Amino acid sequence: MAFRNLFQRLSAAPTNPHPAPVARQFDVADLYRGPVADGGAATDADALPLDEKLRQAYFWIVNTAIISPHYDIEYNDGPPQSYVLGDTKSRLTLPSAQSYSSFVLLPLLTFATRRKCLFIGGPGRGKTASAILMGVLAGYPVREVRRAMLHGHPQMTIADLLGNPLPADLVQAQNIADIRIAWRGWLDKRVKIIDEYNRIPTRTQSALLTVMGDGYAEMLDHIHECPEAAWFLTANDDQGGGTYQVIEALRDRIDVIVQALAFNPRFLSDLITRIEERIRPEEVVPRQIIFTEAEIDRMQDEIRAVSVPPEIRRRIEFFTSQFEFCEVAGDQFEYKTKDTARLAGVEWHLLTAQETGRDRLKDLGCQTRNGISVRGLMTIIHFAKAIAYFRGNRAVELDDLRQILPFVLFDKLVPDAEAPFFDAPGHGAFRTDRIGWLRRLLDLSCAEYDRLNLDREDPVAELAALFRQGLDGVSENEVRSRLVKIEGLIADWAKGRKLYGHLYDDLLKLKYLHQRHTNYLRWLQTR
Amino acid sequence: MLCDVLISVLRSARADLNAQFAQAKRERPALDDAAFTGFIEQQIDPLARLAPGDQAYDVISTAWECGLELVAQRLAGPQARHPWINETWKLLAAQLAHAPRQLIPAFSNAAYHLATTPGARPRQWLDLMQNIAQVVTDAPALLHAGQIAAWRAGLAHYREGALKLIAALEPKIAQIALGADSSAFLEKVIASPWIEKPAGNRESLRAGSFRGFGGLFIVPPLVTAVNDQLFVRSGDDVWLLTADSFGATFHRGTLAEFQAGSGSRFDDAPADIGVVTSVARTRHTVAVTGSLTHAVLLFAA
Repeated sequence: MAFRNLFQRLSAAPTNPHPAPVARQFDVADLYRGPVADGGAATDADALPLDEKLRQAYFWIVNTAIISPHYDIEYNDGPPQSYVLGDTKSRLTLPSAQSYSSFVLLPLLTFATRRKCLFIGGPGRGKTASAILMGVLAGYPVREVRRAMLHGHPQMTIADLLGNPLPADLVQAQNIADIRIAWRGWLDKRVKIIDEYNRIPTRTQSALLTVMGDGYAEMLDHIHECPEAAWFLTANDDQGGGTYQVIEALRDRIDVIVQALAFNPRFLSDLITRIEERIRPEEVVPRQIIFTEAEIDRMQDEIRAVSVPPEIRRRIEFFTSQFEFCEVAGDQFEYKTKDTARLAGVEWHLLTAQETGRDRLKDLGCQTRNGISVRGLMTIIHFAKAIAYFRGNRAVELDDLRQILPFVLFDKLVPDAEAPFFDAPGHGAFRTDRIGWLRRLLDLSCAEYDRLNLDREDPVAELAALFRQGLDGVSENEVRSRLVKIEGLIADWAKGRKLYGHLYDDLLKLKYLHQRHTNYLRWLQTR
Repeated sequence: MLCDVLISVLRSARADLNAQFAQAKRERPALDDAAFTGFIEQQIDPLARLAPGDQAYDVISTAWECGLELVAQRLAGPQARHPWINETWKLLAAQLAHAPRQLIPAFSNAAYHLATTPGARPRQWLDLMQNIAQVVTDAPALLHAGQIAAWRAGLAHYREGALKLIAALEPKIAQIALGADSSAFLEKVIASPWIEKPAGNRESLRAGSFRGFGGLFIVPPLVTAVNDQLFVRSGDDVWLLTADSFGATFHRGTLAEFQAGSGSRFDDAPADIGVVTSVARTRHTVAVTGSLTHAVLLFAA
């Protein structure tokens, strides 16, 4: 049938219109765009900016492929309407700006940035279907995407995962290099899908880790380099359930985790239509939203070019510094971290029992059992840039950070369920709702940041900015003056102030600056 | 009575056509069965009759698909809010039947823009298109000529794009698309947005009117110029104004754009506009507003 399907209709209007630049241009080709979807003569999908194409893809999935989207990534450009419902004072917010469904947006951003996304949620909620859609967006035929998808199962071997040595070579080869390997096709795909990855045996998981983490597969001394790819994994249970425990390193390689939320039965009629008309969204993806390899490369470059303004960077720094510090974990200052305690294998409750002095309700660091890794930070920045890009912005905003951070840290920042925060009135739900908890954590961190007035009064930032200008040509007097300033600042902070995570990191930064200036001073003196 | 070709295609593709109708109806519940039946008889049937034998299916399927969208929005068919898309299908039927995928959506959308842009002249566009169709048969050239004709019919904002198309088209075709009777006219059109400068202190064009009379402005407007473009403000609303000898069009702007602009002086305004309230000047145009008019007066600079 040559009929273009109405099911393939894309948004005709800009999906997230922004104020136009002052000198406006008109395109005479717009004459032929309008209420009737054009037949291809007048449109040039390739000429669409890639962020607009990405939004087109998002809106096509939300409006057509997904039956009941949940708008849980909320943006506001004014006060939102908010209602309190039920005995537990549940808050329903009606956002005042364009808001998004994490179940669609996060995979799409993963696709655009070629990172790794884990879908979690009960069976039959569309996890695999969404992953397949991402494969189709990369230009692979549906059948090929399905065939290249790995299905985790308890008997899965490394050969099932990576490929097999050719039997004839096994018999005839004189040395191992002569044995050719028939590598599995999925290794070369730019969208890799692993269904139920938590059913893969532990040993096979390790081989998978090499492919996921390092981008190559190894078998019998043969190496197969895999192209950069977006990864989509699914699991019915993220909490280590499934047939096998997922090895920690593999879990850590996953960049974002997105939960498939429940189906709203109010959309049942749409489901019936889909059954009656045999509509499979992955089979009717409009060609205008399919990305070529070059486009994804270009999109990655454009996303990387999105800037993180200093005021946003400082809030990320401040937030991150809340969690790693553990005053009782080490004697030497640098080792006062949760990681030191973890490596030592100390029981967590023994450690928290030693905590003294600090307000454990106020200290955000008390809510977690670990800190944020460099990989986690890099992922936050990648995805914050990606969501800003998706929204048509060229700089990350605080709201972008607020929306993306919980999905990145979902499995990376482990809550301490015994922390007083979770016992506080109204906080019980945060024990089960990690997204809500992480978002609240960032809100509290930002509130503390504002209370400390760090945007205006940040002596460490001032010293660091001075240092970034370079030490070349700085006089001995100036260096001494800076050293006095650093020492004065530390002495000032030492006067009876409690030690919190952000202070700890500031002190380490001051030590770093002190050391760099001391070395420079010594060099000046020996010249 | 429907033609045999149409009956045959409707019969053979019945299931798919019905599914499309059902889906369109779900998406746009306003899609009226009777109106679409009327559309089939009045719009699709004439196209089917003119369709070359090997293209009948393509013509009918495209017309069906576009028709669903147009009828559902009451843009075509017996209940259409304006006649121009129906007219386009009727008067350019031979061309649409010749290249349905390229021309049916494009010309329907063009007719829509001309019909819904205040001051544009869809009748003139259709006349020009009929003239063009007598000498141009291939779809890409028809599409280009259609864009030039749309500019000629009042869509002033397409001037730049249309001038580029003129440069790429055969001069004869461009001349027909512009309704020009000589190559001298073509040269004048290319040289300046204002072909003739009226004698005395008469303006070249008055653009816009009071909202109560179907215009845009709720109070007498003000003008500024930013980056060689004119911005008009009336109350809290702002528009970008594009204008030339063929017409004037307004496009939504922002207060920031208006406020970024600068004013000018003009000492030759006609008396009937009252006190001059604002003047803005671009390379080719001087825009003047007055206390007694809801229009913007445009003078060739």
